[in-house]
Amino acid sequence: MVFGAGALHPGWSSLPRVFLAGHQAKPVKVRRCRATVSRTQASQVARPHRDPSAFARKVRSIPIATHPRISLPARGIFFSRALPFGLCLLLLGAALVASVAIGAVSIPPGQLWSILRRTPDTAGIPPSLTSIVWDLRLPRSIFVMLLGMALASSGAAFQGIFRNPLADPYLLGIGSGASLGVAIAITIPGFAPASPVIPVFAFLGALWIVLMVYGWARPGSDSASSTRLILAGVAAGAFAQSLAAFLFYRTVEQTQRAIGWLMGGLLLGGWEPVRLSLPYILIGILIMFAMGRVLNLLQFGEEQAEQTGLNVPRARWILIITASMTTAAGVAFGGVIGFVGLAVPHLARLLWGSDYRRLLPLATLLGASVLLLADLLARTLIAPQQLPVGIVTALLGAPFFFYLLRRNGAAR
Amino acid sequence: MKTHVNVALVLKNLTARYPAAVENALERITLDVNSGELLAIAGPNGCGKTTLLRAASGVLAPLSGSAGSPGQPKPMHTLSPENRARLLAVVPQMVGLPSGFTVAEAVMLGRISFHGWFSPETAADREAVRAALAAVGLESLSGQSIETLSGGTAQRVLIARALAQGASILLMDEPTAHLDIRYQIETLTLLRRFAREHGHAVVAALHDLNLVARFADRVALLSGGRLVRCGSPKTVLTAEILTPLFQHPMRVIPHPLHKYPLVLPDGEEPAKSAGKLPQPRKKR
Repeated sequence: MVFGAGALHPGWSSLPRVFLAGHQAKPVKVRRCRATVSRTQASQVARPHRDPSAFARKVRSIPIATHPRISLPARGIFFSRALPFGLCLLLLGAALVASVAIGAVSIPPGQLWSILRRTPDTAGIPPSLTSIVWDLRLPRSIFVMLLGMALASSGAAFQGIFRNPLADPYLLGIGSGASLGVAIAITIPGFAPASPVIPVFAFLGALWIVLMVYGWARPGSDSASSTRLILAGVAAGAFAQSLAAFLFYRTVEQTQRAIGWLMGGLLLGGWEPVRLSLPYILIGILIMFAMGRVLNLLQFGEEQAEQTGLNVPRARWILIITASMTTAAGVAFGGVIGFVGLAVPHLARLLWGSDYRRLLPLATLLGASVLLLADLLARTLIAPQQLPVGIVTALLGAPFFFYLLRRNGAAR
Repeated sequence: MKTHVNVALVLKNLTARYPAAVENALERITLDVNSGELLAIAGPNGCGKTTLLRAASGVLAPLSGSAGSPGQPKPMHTLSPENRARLLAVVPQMVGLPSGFTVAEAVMLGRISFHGWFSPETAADREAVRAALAAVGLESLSGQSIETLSGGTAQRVLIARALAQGASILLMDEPTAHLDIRYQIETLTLLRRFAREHGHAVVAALHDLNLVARFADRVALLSGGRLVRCGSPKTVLTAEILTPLFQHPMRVIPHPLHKYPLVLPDGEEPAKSAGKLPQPRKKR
């Protein structure tokens, strides 16, 4: 069983080492609980196996105040629950402000604030600045934020569904499938790039690839299935991306922009991408958040999950379709941006553990911040020219990927 | 809780085959499991112990025959996973647990058929988890993360998760594998207590015949996917049956202090003339 105790699992479980360090505080809490128990009760706690039912009676007789709280980590509510969310929200807010304020023309925070409140004339701000914020920077930043959320959340979900640390939307070829869908939509005459059918085509392309990869690899519980899955994903992804490039080259007038988009540039400016992709991404993310518990159960293996009462095929398909939809809606206008969907969930897991009920929202927030900062770099690194965001994320993400591989290798 | 003896799980002519296999992994197994008893399944490697548990739990659809419960008209493999999980709980072979969960969270996952995918866990769920943890003696460790636990404790977490499902049938696949002697005895004592005190029907695949002899109410011996014998350890665990079954000379003596049989492998070489396996009484 590769996922149980075999090749991949030790590396997988060795990932949250930072998390484990945080857990070392727990036995202290348990001991503190025992200290408040009388001597006879403590002896029962020390030898619970002697008589479980008597032990149970003893434990029930312990006053509630000293009772170990169930399903609440002993690290304290602020450190275990609220603090990571606060940190992520703070980071996201800072990244959003920086992303809007910094660029070819830098806008001081005070001016930015009055522009955002739509009271520019009182402060004597030129109308061009207002236009830069409202028509260029803000829509771009919000779309990049949505894209980061979509990639990180679906990456985390895919890693959970396939129980494979190397799964991400891009590696499984879903991003490429979505770009193929977009390429097909754009080559059909009469469809503008801002058409509402673009995300639909992206979704269909992504779904096609995921069905193909899944049917091909047939991941089970055998040791080769994750390798097969990744190989199938790489092959299908390369195929779809080449096909997309081929279709773009045939429509000459859009080649320049389309190739940039394939490398992870934005297809369109303005509010259209936000408007068209927002519903898909938001609904997809919310469905995935709600399925954190299902993902948790899937970590024990498919047969165990089914025997515990989960309809595994249904859960898996809902998750795959939701994650594909979320990815595709982002890819439709943002291009194929690698490594965010892979690295950000791992980073969140390293920092805050692998309980999917918390991991998914945290990875989503972190993904938005990371992509906003990467986009900021892409816009400012060789200003006034702009790099596709995908190049920056690959430059930063590839070393992290190698680091993960090394860690997996060391643990094995 | 049930106090009177009644049948909990009925296997009727259960025949199963794996997709790529030529031969049946199980051949017409007919077996009743009563409430309040600990039934051991024993036999040589590859005799179909795990397959029998998988077919009985409904995750493996049988080729013919059925596994069912008297209170449930539909056979096990046609039930939805949710309904099945409330009827019957499976404790799998211990192969390492995923990281990132506390003991209580892992046990709470056994309640998924009650609170559904999206709705939050209720007070009843928390109470069930607490009771399950108390039953296996792990309540003081409920906040501990499961990857830090020893094998024996991790095994008890999985048993607690099965208990939290609220099922009256417990299927255990090698609950004592990877455990030292103390934990082996502790685990089986616990299982026998669930059968005796709570009226659970407990089915456990076991390798150690002496543990079978000591703890099981009845034992079903399998060989090549067939049920060879089923009965009390004293009548079934005899040298005449075990020697051909394991293809090794066996000696069975009564335990010097207690009454149950003690199985001792004899000699070093596999038995050349171990004799033919005694045919099951009911042929066909």
